[in-house]
Amino acid sequence: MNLNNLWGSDVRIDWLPMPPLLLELGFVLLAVALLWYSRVLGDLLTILRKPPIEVLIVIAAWVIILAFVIPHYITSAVFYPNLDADPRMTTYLLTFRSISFFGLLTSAVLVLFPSLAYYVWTR
Amino acid sequence: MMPLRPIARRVRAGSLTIVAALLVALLFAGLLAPTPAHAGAGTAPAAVGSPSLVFSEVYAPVGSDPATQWFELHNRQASIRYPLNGLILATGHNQVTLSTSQVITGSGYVLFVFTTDAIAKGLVAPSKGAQVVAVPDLGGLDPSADALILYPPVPGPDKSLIIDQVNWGKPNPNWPNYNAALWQPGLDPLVLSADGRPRSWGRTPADQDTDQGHTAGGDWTLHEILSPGGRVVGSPPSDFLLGWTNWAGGLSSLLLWAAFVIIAVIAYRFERLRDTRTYWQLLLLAPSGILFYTIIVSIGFSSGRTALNNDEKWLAFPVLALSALFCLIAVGIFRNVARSLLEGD
Repeated sequence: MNLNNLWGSDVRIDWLPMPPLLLELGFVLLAVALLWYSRVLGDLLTILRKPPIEVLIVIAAWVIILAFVIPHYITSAVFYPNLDADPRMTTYLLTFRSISFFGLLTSAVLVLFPSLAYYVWTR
Repeated sequence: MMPLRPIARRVRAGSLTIVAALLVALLFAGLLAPTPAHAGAGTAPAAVGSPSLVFSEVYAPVGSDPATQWFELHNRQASIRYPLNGLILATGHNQVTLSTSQVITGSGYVLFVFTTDAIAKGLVAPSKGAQVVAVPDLGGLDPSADALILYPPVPGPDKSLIIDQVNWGKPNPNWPNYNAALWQPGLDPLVLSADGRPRSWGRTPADQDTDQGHTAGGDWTLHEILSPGGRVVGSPPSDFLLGWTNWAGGLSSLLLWAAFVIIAVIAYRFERLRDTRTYWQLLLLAPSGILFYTIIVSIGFSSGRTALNNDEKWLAFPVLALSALFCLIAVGIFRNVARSLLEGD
């Protein structure tokens, strides 16, 4: 698809970028798994009378969706197909790539912390 | 013991199966959906593109003269070098057989100009390190309607063998080099941007060849930045965007894998405590695909690249998706088991 005059240039969009779509789908599944896990951990923390830090896992799941999946999709669908057409696309791609990976790093830490805390509290 | 929060019964193994089936269906929908190259087949006939050499950029804006015009050939094959000698280049009206010792390298570009002094006079500014070939005998391009055609050294009867071609405006059947495969009409004649900047017609991506023009899923788009004789290059990335981000990419997926392993440990301890199966072994093995993805990403980025190549992507991404599906199923089982027991308490 060509979108004329979107930020002033002729932009091609690959709506179903393969295989990046598989990666994005995979991380959506992981986010859902984390949301389910947060409910279990919440119940276990309630029994221990500990603070509800499972909310950090809920935040982590949403960070995966918002900061990794969506930027990664935009990168694959918009920036990557147009690298040969516009040098600005390289800058956008690298910026979104940084957002994706640092977002994923943040969410990984947010999942690890409450899990490790529960592990320590129940030793 | 404090009272537990109310635990809904709405999600059980049945719903887990439905979610898994839905996700698998989505996965296959993505795999089986038409690729962009074929998506536009309804608007223009798809044909087999050139396996090797293609026209990748043309600059002949309305009002220009041959001294400032240029076009570019690109080699789509990364590992094959092609000698240019003997190839036949044609416009709608003229043609010339190349007589040169130059070779187009794998994934390389060659810039063609119409006057021998176009570079020296600064009328054309080639990309750094560009190979340049002057073809004055070709005469120049008609900005309103013309074609560029590449024939092999032996073009066959009636020049029926064409390596690649591109045309703009309405092709004229009276052109000596007219053929029925030219686009009707071709690309729009090239004009300057609204603020007067030059732009070119370019193949986007440079390696795509579906034999379609400026259509949905076609090959050609307007390039706002000219790159005569080379690919479009962005500014070099900073340490943060390259080195630090590469580290974050590898470390984040490694930590995510570790997080799922800890979930498996929690499930294991829950099983021992309650003497009920939680299938923690599945939770322990399911995230292995995340670890595999981490390894591929680390190998790919260790060479300083900003993206995995296609082989690496096809290796890592499906494995991660499958692993994530197993993680979802395993966490779902653990959740159902745990909540059944806790609800019983």
